[in-house]
Amino acid sequence: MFARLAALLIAVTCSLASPVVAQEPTPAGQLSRPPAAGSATASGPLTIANEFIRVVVNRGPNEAGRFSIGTTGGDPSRPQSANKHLIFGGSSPWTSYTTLSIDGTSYVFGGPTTRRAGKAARYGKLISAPQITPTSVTHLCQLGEIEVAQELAFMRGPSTRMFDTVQITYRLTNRGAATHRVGLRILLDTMLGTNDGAPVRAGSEAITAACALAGKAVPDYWQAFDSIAKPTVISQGSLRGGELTPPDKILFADWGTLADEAWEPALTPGQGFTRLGETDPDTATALFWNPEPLPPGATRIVRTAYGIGGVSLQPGKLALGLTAPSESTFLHERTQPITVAGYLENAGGFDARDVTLRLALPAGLELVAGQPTMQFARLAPNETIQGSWTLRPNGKASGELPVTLTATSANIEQNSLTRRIQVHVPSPRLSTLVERVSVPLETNGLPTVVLVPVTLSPATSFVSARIVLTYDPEVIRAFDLSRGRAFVDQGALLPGWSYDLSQPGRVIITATRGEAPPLTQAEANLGVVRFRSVAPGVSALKLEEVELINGKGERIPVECLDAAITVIRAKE
Amino acid sequence: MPAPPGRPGGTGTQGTGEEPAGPTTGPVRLGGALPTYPKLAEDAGEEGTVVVTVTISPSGEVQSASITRSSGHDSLDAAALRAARSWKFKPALQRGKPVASTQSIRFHFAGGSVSGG
Repeated sequence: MFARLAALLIAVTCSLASPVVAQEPTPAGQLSRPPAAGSATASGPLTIANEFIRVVVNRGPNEAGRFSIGTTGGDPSRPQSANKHLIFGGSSPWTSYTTLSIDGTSYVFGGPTTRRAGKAARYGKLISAPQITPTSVTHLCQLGEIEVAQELAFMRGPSTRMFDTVQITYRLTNRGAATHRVGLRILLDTMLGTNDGAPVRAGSEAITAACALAGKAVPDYWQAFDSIAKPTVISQGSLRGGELTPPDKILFADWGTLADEAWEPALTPGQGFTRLGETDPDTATALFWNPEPLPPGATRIVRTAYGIGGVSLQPGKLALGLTAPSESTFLHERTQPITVAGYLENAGGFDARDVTLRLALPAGLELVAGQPTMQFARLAPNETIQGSWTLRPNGKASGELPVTLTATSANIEQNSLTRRIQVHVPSPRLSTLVERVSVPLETNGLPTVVLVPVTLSPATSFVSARIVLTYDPEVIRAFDLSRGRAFVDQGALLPGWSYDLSQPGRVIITATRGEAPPLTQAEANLGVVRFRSVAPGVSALKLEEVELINGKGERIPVECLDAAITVIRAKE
Repeated sequence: MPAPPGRPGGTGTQGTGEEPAGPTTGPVRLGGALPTYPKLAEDAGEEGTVVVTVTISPSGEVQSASITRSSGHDSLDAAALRAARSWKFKPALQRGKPVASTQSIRFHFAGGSVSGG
């Protein structure tokens, strides 16, 4: 273990210090020990590598710009994943390639080929020497009037949080004088270790035959394995999240079918993954971004990611697997859901009866879609079932939150597996949610009344609060304030609640929650201020002083959101 | 290359004793694709020529096929054999009657392309 850590440290040091000459892959699907940084020899491939992963880019002239991806150190928690292929191709990658559809004509990115993959398509020209840094390789190509930059760079894996993933970016710029319809296809020839027919899962679904997933059916991620039962290396293509551009469609098929057609091949429903004209299974994936108008001078950016996959495994007679993004962030009303997928395989050698698969969530994560408990009367030996759940952080807890998958059976011992998701919850936000931002001076002959709730989101627990809300007394006037639900516990009013409206232009709330139970709802209402209109004009509502104190006597950082009320003379 | 109609190209192997009237021709290829260049062979730069000899039934099916000249690469030989087995023929005729016959087919694998047949 220590030797491995030391080796990793050395690799890190090398990657920061000096490039190393690229090495050739060895036969039998294993890659030789990696160079530690960007490197290129006069005739060899362009290679970048870090302690986890490497990218080899064909220098050309034939197939220039085509790339392969493999591991160096691989997944630190799975030592056997070191020096394995993730995409077919050694020092001269050619089976994975990228196509542009320009006004219906297919052009392949990079140098031309005499080989099977992309032979029939048109080609452009490379317009500058490739740019290589220790962490990226960039090629620039002109295809018709479209200039295309391909950048391959390391990024943090969405499910691992390590720099074990390659961000694949294409910048498509129209250098012509007319608008063109431009789309992009990326073909990735998956090969995991020595398995060129690597089994694939899209989200939680096992892909057992050629298929196309489009629109909402496009998963957040897909994974490939050298072996489903006992994987030593797992890859993951990430399709959503961060700066990634979700594709319009994803095709899974045998490599021959996808490689022979530069744009979209016709798939036969149920067609397996054996290469056309051959006997070997060979899985491949094609990602499509549909053609869209690209005006002169405009740039379209397409970005996806492929690298080492993060799956937690728990061997046993009821063997479990669980995959999930490594982190998620609560963003108030903009929180993005995440997908968690679990697998259960009966490795017991006999039927499992009355099987239950259960997902347990911590307080900070809530279930948006999927059943927390799945039940099966019988699970045959080697049979696998999978579950998929959509979760969302709710702001009630942060940090490394455990998600636990448990399998039970009437006749096989229980097994469980926990995976942790780093959930970020930003500072709570205090806001004045004005019902109406523009109100008439009078309603039914009387000054208009406006209700302004003061809301804390997420409902961070505090023991005392002092809030000063300012306004323009020439426009509106506060005349009442009701207690917020944050100061009511099971119907009982908490002591220590007070407010002061005596100073023109200032509302002061002073309150304590003391020993009251922590707030558990997503939002907490601290009070509702009633304003009466005074004269036409605009009054800012400013949370000028906010002091929330936690149980340790510390001040809680709070983001304050101000608002404004406009009083108009005419009745609307 | 399959022999053109009307000219003996293969070898008839079945006779009946009777001598019906009609033409004597070799088998004629009706359909069948060229072999696919095996991916791993193409990746490894393997090239070569394979000659496959097929036995064609009176109904035009390939009854058997064997390598009579190897490329030196197992995967190229296997690809050629697979392709040849899937071919369909118009059977050879002996005095107007379909008979079994043999045919040699040459495939050339080079530079990512396959030619011959």
